[in-house]
Amino acid sequence: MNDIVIETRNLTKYFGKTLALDHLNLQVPRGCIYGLLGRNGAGKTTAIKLMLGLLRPTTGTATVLGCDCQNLTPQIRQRIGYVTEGHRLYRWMKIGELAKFQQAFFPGSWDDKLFNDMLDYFELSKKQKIKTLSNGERAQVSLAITLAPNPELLIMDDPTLGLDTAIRRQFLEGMTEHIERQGRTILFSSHILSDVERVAERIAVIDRGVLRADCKLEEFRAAVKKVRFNFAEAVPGQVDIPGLLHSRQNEKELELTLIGTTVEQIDTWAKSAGATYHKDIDMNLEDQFIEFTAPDTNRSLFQWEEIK
Amino acid sequence: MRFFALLKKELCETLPWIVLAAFLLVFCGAIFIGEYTRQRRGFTEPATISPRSFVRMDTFREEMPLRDIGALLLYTSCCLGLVLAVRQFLVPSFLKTWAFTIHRSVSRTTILLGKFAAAIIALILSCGIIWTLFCWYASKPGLFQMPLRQRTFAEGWIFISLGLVVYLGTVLSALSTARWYITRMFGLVFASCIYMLLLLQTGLALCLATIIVSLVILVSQIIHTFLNREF
Repeated sequence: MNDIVIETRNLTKYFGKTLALDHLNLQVPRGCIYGLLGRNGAGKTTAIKLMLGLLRPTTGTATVLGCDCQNLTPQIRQRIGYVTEGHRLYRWMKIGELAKFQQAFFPGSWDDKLFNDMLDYFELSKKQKIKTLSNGERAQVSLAITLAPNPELLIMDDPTLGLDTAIRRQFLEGMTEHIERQGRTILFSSHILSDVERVAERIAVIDRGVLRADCKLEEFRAAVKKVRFNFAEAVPGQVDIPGLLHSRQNEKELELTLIGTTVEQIDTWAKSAGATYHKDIDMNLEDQFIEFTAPDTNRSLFQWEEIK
Repeated sequence: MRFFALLKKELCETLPWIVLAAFLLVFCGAIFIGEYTRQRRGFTEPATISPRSFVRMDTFREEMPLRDIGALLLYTSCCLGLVLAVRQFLVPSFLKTWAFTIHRSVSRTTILLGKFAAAIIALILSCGIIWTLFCWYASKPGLFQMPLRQRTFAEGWIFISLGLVVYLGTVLSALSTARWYITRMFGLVFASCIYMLLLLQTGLALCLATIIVSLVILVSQIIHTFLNREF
């Protein structure tokens, strides 16, 4: 069995003259929860829609479950669960009707017990109309109808967008429960970093259409750091340290955001620059993401992997 | 099973419009026939007509209410075709439900066929059956001065087919991603041309041929557009 579930090669998409995705090369291994991160308009939805054959690439290819994404057969689609951005469902249907409609497309694999259990868990009734549901409830229905057929691969486009913290947590718990079943893979896009931190094993960061990072979450957490240097005299004008993302300075203090720079490299530079004292500043994933995707930076994962 | 699930969904979505069109036809048709019957009764009983009444003899020609219902049928089927296309192809774009519809274990062709089948069923249910019922009622002896002609019945079905042409023309325009003021209008303009052409035609066979050719052109264009469109 192939261990790569999704693979994209130089996937590029232009909308008119606008470059939405630029040579995306991505590999999603089987059985992992993969977070696709990026700011609004970074190209996450475009990437997902290209993978599902809903958009046509300008250049490049993508394979999903071993099948070219532009020719996904109904059999392959049956193995892929897709939660759309904004949980757009048929508003006029009741939850029960929607489930029945969805069930028709998954003969043999629809798990009615799982669907009912999820509805119970989310405290929803089959008689409720979709149009009367809140955003959060619609997200829960969307997750339930996507998980009930036991898809081998679950692709979710910003599933927690617009949900409150409690419902987001419920949603993520439902999702992670799914992954515990053997061989299931989840790819989800998000710009809510706490969600990603909670569940993702690997992450890819897309910034203005370009893939800037593709690694394990803990590798990213360890790689992006901020260090504050104090100087007895003026801060040096030229900062020449490997993995520099950007710097901020005042009179006798210099704050550097670095990626993939080792402790030895930091110590060596501090000595050579004449710093009297330096210390790491705590950063959560959100801080790291913001620093990493700041407009004036363009360093990528591959560079810091080489530095390492 | 999957096709029927799609068909059922499409029919449920368009049900209000099917009912509305059927109601409009039945209601107005009943008024036309009722009015005709009332006038005819008045005409056949000269005592009830005032000496000053102006009665045009030519208004009592055969099938007069069916002619009116035919005209109503033409507008209803064309409007229904337009509304069905908007409901099936334009509304999902606004509600952004296309991705949910497209990503399922059926081919895009099946999804399209489900929509087409629902539109045809809708036109038959709301226009075809009611037209047939009116014609059946009109063919009852003693109601009209002359028996119902088959041509009148066939003309009604040509009007219903024209509704299908309008539906497909609107679908093509709705599916197009070009700007409204350029090639996107092709479908609607094409359907309008066919509409004009048919109203100018007198031969039934020619009308039928025009309808068939236009349907083939529109369906082939729609299939090509739908299979290649981005959602």
